[in-house]
Amino acid sequence: MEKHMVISPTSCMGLVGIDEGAYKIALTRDPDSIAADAGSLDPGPHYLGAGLPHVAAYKMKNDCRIMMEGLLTQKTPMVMGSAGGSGGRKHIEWHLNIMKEVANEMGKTFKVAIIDTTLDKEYLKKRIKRETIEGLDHGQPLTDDIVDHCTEIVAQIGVEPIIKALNMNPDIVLAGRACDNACFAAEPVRRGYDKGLALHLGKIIECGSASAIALPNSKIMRTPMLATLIDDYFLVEPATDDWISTVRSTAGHEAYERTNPFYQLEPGGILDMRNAKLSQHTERCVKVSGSTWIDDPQSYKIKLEGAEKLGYRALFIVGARDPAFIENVDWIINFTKTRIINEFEPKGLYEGKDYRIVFRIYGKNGVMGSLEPQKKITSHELGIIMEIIAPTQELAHEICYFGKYGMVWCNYPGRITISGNVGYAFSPSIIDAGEVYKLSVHHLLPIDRDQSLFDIRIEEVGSK
Amino acid sequence: MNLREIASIIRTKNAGPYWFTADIMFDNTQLYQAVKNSQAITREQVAKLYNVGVENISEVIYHDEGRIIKVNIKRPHVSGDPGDSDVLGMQQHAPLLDIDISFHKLFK
Repeated sequence: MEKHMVISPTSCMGLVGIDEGAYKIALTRDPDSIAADAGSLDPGPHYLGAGLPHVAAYKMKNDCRIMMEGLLTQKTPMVMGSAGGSGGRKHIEWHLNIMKEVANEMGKTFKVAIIDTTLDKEYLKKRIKRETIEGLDHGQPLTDDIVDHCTEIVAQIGVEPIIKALNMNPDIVLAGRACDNACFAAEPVRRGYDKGLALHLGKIIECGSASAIALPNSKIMRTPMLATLIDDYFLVEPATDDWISTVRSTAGHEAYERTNPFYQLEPGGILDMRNAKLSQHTERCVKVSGSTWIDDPQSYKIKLEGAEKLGYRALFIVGARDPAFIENVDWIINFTKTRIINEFEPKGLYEGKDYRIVFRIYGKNGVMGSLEPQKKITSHELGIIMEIIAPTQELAHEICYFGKYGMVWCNYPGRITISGNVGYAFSPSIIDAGEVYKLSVHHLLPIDRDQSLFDIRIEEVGSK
Repeated sequence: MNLREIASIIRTKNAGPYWFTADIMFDNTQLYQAVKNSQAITREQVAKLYNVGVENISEVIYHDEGRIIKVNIKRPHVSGDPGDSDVLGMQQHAPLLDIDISFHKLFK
């Protein structure tokens, strides 16, 4: 077979930013397809639940511009996945609007194939009646209640819907929630390359140059990655000479963000990397072979994601420098918490049910919580965040205000500083932090192999 | 000798919203093999370091080609849930830094 080169311009669209000079160098290598993912569940459930992006709009616009301008000189199939960060409908709209703006400013038009990966709630509830929708990494099956409580539920698609979209000959495929590696693998698989190898390739370059190493002379934070499929192997290398790929850096990225470096659960099957072989092809290029695809013989299962709104958050962020305060911090936190509970119980508001209190004590166990093995505080100061989550922003704010005075003026043992127990970081001291979401859908749904669940529409963006 | 003096990278990150995954990586194959052969990193020991039962810790996985030792820690909170203190799981590695790797064990 002819070679097929895939370019990965960046780790995540809108995040660090594509290095434009390096990307132009990458394009001179005459790639056969280009892909980038724009999202992840890693920043937490808020973005999916609230329908908001997790990057700055101007950075996303700049990355869109660089990639879309590149298409004018080097026309290749292009896939952008996990649109707008979480791949929901609002995220797609946000991402697409940015592309429209860029296209208008360029005075060009682009044909965009948009894959809707949001699932209809009524459809899901029908499925729940018929069968058990199993939890992924947890034992709780999906319920009507959970479905109703989520803002929106997205499916993380594999290569198949992206291939369908590519078959419509668009300039750009904009996919809702998608597996990172599927964005890179879709075009090679469409052209007949091995699915196991193509997905493994995608896994290695999906995070851009995270799988490579910058040489000491490098002046750029990131560089695009190139991966070339040739028969039964592929080659991986960074786009610019100031970066190299090594077996260690490549294998290191295989292990990244995964509980097992040898298997990866994918939509419709498993990527098996047990027999994958990595070798140093040239000083800056790694050769990979031996990874295989195993179809799930029973059903094509796809991962669902959904976040539900818990309420609103208010924060009180302070610091303490007094040694007696630090010594008695547990007493103070306990006093403050008890005082809040005693105040609001007679009003019919119960902690843990109607609202929540969370304390974070930086300098004690703020980063690791219950996993922190070091029990003794050795710091001369502590950072404390009192967090209240309540059904309305107003209530969270009120409870936080009440809690504040407990902490600030309680008479802890050994207190000789009577003006106030902590230093406030901000005015206003109580910060309304907005909506709070929780991930409540992380389930596996068997779907038809024809992928008819996902609508694909064509939209022309921009103007001449 | 502590693990931090031997390994070139010790990191944690989310592996999905329910797990932290720890990667301990070595620049040198002999050091990697020596640490692997010493069996100094065990499920039980990692459980002890993180104050949790062994059921919250995965088997230790050895990736010879990458010179990586991997172990997974069940998150006490699902990523982003109220009370979660490390949404992306990037700062849970510190207890691993001080695992004692006896020099005699390494090179006997």
